[in-house]
Amino acid sequence: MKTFLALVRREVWEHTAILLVPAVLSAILVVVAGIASVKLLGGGMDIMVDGHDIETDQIFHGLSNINLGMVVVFGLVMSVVATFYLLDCLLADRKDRSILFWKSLPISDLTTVLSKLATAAVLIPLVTVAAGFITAFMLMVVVTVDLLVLGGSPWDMLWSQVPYFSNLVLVVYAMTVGTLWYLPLMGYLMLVSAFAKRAVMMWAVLPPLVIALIEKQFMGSDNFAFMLSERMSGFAPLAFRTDSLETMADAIDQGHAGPGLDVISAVPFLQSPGLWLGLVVAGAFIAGAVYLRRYRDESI
Amino acid sequence: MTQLVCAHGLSKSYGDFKALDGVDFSIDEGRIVGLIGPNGAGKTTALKAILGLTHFDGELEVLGLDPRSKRHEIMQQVCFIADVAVLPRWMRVHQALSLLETVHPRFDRAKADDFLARTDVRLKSKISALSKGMVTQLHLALVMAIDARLLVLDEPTLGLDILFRKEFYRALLNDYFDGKRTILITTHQVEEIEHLLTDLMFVNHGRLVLDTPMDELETRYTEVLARPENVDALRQLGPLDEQQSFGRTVMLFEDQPRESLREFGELRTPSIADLFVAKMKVSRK
Repeated sequence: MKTFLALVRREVWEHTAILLVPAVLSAILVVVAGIASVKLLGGGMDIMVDGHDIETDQIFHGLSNINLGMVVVFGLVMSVVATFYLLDCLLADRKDRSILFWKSLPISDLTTVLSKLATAAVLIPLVTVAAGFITAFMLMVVVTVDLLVLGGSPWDMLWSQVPYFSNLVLVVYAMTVGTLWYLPLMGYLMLVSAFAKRAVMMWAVLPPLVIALIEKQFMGSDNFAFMLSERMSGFAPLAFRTDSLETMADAIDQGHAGPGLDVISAVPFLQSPGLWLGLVVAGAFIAGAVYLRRYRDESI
Repeated sequence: MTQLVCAHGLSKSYGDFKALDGVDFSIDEGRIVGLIGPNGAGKTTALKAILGLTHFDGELEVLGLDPRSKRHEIMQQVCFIADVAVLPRWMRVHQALSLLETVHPRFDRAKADDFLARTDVRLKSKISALSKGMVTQLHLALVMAIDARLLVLDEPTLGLDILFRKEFYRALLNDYFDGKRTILITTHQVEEIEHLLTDLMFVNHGRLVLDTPMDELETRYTEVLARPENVDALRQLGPLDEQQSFGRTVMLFEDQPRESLREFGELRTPSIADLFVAKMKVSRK
């Protein structure tokens, strides 16, 4: 375990984007919010939405979902970071020729590959949640200053409105199901990373594209492309109750409280064949990546 | 005497090219073995097989284990420095030290710190900011702090200036080698390691063309600085090689008793470099 954590730490040393990107994004968001609120307060301007004045307390009410909103923002950015990380993680050592140094350590290739997978599948989601919540907290501090200047009560209008616990549960749930659902994609990217010598992006994009085109050409069907698009977007309808998602969207529009824990629908998600088939495929891709890492004859 | 490495019929082909062609050899504990051969002779392939970095045919045991399946266990007690096994450029020196400290059960941090303190390598430096000589010093510090039974060095001093090269081997002999450890070295710069080897192996075209302890070299190989009138008579004895040097003919004999050669001219033990050249010419025929 100590070895495993040391290997994950080594990934963070090498791939600084994992911490740097959320830190910079967080700083930018807080600074922008600070500037915006200075302008807002200084200008004494009315806030217009769809040509109507809206009550400031409605805006602040909407802020009760700021935790979720921030995790979504960081989630989008970090999924890009994770994609590039996975494509690079088994290639970088070979490209900078340090592979033989890594192979000189008494660490099995399975452990190495799993430490890289854990970086993408566990560490990056944790960083995402932490960055989202920390940034939301700092934005709430900014808003608190605004409220104090405007003469509102930060506690009544903001801090007591946020369902911290259910937000945290929702976010952890979403990260978990998302990671499980996207695990085959992660495994695929790792396999590409272990295989390609260069042009790793091309190797990642080309095979699925070619398969889809061949299927279209010779069988006239789109099953593969459909399956891929299902994999990209398919977990939300399984893991969340869409009907309550819609009512939730309405509720947020009206400035009411955000989603509660009733949107979670773990059972249909766990029962879906897509999840388990995906995990089997992920296992195969990762085994392939381990095999390539182990037996590929790296030119000395 | 324990055998650390034991190979029988070790073979490896890349398509039609036979990098190793049924090689037998063994390496005993406490020896310093030089594995010498021209480029493409199979040296590196042999090292890769020993380190579990490549598939091969035949039998090979390292520390009694099969490197094909037990690579990471073997690497607990085997270290290697290769010219091409570069340290990751993004890493800082202190990161390398703390990583080794955590993942390597036989790594002694204090030893590495001690060795580095005698160099210009700073703990905060990024490896990409170090000179090639300093990177090698760092690598040597990491490796010397590991209590390993077998150290494999593949062209360890390639591209280093003479000061670093001398210092490298000095440190290796004085601070590392204790008579129980075993070192396997390949290099082109034969002259530099000549005095520290206990055993010598030559490979060419994937075959072992020489495998001898250094102390038998003297009895098995003799160089004769032939007097001009003796050249023809000496040729009758079938020298391994013949060269002109400062107007004199130098002939190299294998397994020819010295007593029988003494009458033809001045005798001496050939240098490894001369022996190497002669052996390579023969194995090419």
